[in-house]
Amino acid sequence: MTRRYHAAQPPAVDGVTLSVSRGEILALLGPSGSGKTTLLRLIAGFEAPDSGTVAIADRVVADARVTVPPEQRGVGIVFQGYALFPHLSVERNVAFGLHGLEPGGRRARVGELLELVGLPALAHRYPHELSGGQQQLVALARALAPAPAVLLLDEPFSNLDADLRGEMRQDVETILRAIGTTVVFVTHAQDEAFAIADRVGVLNHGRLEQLDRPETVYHRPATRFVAEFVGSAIFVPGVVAAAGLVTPVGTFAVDGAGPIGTEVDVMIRPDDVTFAPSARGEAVVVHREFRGTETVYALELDGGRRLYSSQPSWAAAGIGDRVSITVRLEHVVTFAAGAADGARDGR
Amino acid sequence: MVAAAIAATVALPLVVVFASWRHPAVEVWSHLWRTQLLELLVNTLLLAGGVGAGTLALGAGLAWLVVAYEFPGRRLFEWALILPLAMPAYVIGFAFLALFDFAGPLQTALRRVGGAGVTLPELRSGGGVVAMMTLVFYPYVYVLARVAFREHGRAALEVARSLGHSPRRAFVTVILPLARPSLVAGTALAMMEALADFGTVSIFGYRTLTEAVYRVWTGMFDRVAATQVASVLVLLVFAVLALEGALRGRRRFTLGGRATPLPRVVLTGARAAWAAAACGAVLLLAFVLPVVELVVWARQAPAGQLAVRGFGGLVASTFLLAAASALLVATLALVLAYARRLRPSRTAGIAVQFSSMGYALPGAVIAVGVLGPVAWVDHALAALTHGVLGSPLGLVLTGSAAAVLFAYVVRFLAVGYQATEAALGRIPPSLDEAARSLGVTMRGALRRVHLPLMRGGILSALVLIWVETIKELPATLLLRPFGLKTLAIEVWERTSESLWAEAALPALAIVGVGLVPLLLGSRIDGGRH
Repeated sequence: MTRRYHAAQPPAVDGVTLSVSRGEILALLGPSGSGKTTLLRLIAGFEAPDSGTVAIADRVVADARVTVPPEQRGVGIVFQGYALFPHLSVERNVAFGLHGLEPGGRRARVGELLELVGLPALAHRYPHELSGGQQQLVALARALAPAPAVLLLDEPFSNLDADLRGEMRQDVETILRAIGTTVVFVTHAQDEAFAIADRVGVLNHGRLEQLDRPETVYHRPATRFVAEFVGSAIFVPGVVAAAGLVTPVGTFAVDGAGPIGTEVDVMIRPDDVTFAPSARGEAVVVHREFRGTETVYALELDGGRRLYSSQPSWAAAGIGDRVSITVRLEHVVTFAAGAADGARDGR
Repeated sequence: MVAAAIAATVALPLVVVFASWRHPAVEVWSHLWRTQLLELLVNTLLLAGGVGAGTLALGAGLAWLVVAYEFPGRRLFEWALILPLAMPAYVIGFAFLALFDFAGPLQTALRRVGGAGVTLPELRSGGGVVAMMTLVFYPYVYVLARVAFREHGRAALEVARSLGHSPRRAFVTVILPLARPSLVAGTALAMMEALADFGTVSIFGYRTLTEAVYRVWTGMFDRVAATQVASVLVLLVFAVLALEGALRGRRRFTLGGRATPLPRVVLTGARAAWAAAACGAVLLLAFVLPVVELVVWARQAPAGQLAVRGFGGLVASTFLLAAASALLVATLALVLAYARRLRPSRTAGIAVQFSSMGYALPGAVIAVGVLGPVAWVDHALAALTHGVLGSPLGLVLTGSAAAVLFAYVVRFLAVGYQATEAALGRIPPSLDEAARSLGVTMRGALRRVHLPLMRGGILSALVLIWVETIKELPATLLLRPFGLKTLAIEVWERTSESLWAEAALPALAIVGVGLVPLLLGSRIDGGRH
C-alpha cells in the first residue's frame, strides 16, 4: 500500500509519503494542527488530496482522476467522540455497516463482534446508557463489523478519563492484534503511540518528520522537533574533540558527529540527568514539579543554563539546594549547532 | 442547485413586486398622493413605532419580573404569559371592538351607572390598534428577553455588583445592554408582524399600506398599482430589518462561563401583590378576557346561521389546506437544509438567506407578487395547449389552490427551515461520516440516520407551519380560489359586518389551534434523548 499526498495551499498535509503493511499498527503522532487528522480524513475519503495518491490494498482510491467516495473504500473508522447513532441500540449500531447479509448472518456477525469486544450483554442498550469505555468498544465493534481493509482511529482515547485510558489501551490493542487488522491511529499523546504502535510517524506542520519504531523515534530522533516533542529534550552546545564530545555538563563518547572541532548541539533528556546534594555543586535547584511517580527538577548551572532532571518522587530535594550534576547519555544524539528545526542530521 | 432553484422560486414574488415599477401606475399614484398617501405612510410608521415601543416595554418588563423575582403565581405566569401568541391580532381586535361597542356590555354598563353622556375612548383609532397589537405581539420580546436575562443575568449582575453597582443600576448598565440583541430581535419581529397585519387594521378602519394594497387591488382592480404600493411596504420592512442589524451591532454579547440561573429576589407584601397584579392584568386583557368573551358570544350564536355542518366543512377545508401547506413547505425546507449540509457553499448560504426572506414579507405583498408569475405560467400553459391540442386550457393555476400554496411556501419556508435546520444542526457531522465509512451513501444516511434523529424537529416544523397557515389571512383572502373559505376568512368577513357572535366560533377554533404548538412546545422540540 502506498499513500502519497501533497496538499497545495496551505498544506495541512505537506508531501507526506508513507505505507502501512498488512496487519501493522501505525500511529500518527503530532501536536494539534500538525495535519494528522487531515491525513486520516484523506485516507478515509472525507477530504480529497490536491495531489498524490491514496491506495488501499493495491486499489487506488484517490488520485488526480479518481475519488472513490468514503462508503466504497472499505475503511473502518472510530471517531473521536465515537459518533454512535443515538437512535439505534448497540446491536443496530454494530449492524449498521453490514450490507448484503441475510438477517441471520447479520445477527451472527453482530454477536461475534460484541463477543470480541466483550459486551454481548449490552446488545439492547442505547448509546447514552453506556459508559465512555463501553461506547468506545461499541464504536470499535461497529467499525470492524464490515471487516474493513484498514481501521482508522482518531484520538481514540482522548475522551476517556485518565484512569480508564491505560486499561482501554490494552483492551483495544489486544482486540486489534487478535483480528490482525491494519490500523492507522492518530494521537497527540506519545505514550499512547509508543504503547500500541508498531511504528510511529511524527508529524509537524503537515510534514512527516520521522517514521520509525517507537524505540528509534525516542532514542534516535531524526530532527530537533521530534527530539523536543517526544520526551521533552533540551540541547546543550558541544565540540567534537580528541577525548570525545566536550560539553558544559560533561564529556561523552561519540562517533560520527564530524571531524574534530565540529560544533554541535547535544540532546539531553530529563531522564539522562541525575544529581546529588553537594555544598560545592555546580547547580542550584530552582523549580520542582511533582508528577506523582516522578518529580521533575529544574537545575540552574552557575552560568545560567538550565537542565531538567526527572527523579523518583521519593527522592527529595528542596528549592535553593545546591547540587552536583551527572549526565549519562545511553544514546548520544547531536544536531548541527544552532540549526533550525527540522535539520536532519541526527546521530 | 436544488437549493438555488428553491431560493429563486421563493424570491420571485419580491422581484415581481419591484419589477412592477417598469410601468408606473401614474393615475392611481396621483390619486393616492392627493388623497391619502401621506396618511397611509404616517399611519403605518406610527403603527410600527408604537407596537415596537409597546412590545419592548411590556415584553422586557414582564420577562425581568418573572426571571428576577419570586412572587405568588410566578411559575404560572412565567409560562402563561406566552399564551397571547396563540391569539391572532384580528381576533383580539374584534373581541375588544365587540366589548367596547356602543351596544356592548361595557358601554351599556357605563351608561347605566353614569348616564347617557358617558363614553369610552374610541377604540377604532391609532392608539387602539397599537394597544391591540402590543397585547398579542409582546410575547416575541418576552420569550427572547427571558432567555437572555436567564442566560447572562447572574454573571452580569455579580460582576456589576462587585464593581459597586446597585442591582437596579446593574439592570440598566449591564443586563439590558447584554440582552440587547435579543430585545432588538424580538421587537423587530413584533414590528414586522404589525406591518404585515391586515385583519386588525381593516376591521378597525385604520388605513395603512397593507390595507391599501388590498383596497387598491379589490377596489380599483389595479394589480400593478397594488403591487407598487406593496413595494413601498417592502421598503419599510427592509428598513426595520436594517435597523435591527444596526442596533444588534457586531459585538457578540456574551460573558462566557457557564450560565447559572439568577437567584430570584423574593417579593413580599404589597410589592408581591403588584407584581402578580401586573402579570395578571396583562394575561387577563391579552388572553383570558377575549377567550371568555368568545366563548360567551359563541354560545349566543344563532344556531341556524352557523349550521354545524357548515362549520364542520369550514374546519375541514381549513385544516386540509393547512396540512397540504405544511407538508409542502416542510419538504422544501428539509431539501434546503440537507442541500446545505451536503455542500456548505456560499451559494447555498445565500440561497437560504433568500428563501428565509419571505417571512419578513407581509402576506398582502406576497399575494400580489405571487399572482404575476402564476398568471404568466397560466398564459404559457394556455398558449401551449392551444398549439398542441387546438384549444387553450383555461387559467388553471390563477385562482386555484396552487397560487395560495405558492404564497404559503414563500411566507412560511423560513419557519420550516429554522425548525429542520435546528434539528439537523444538532446531529454532529461525525455521524454522517460514520455512516459513510460504514458503506452508506448520503441518501441512505438521510433515511437511516438523519430522518429518525430529526423526527422531533420535522414534526415541530409541520405543526408550526400548519398553525401559521390556519392563522394566515391576507394572502389567502387575495389569492383564494372562488368558494374556498378558511376559518380566518370567515372571522374577517363576519367581523367586517359586525356580526360578532357569528365570528366567535371560528375565532375560538383559530385560538385553539394556535395553542397547540405552545402546549406541545418543549415536548416536541426535545425529541428523544
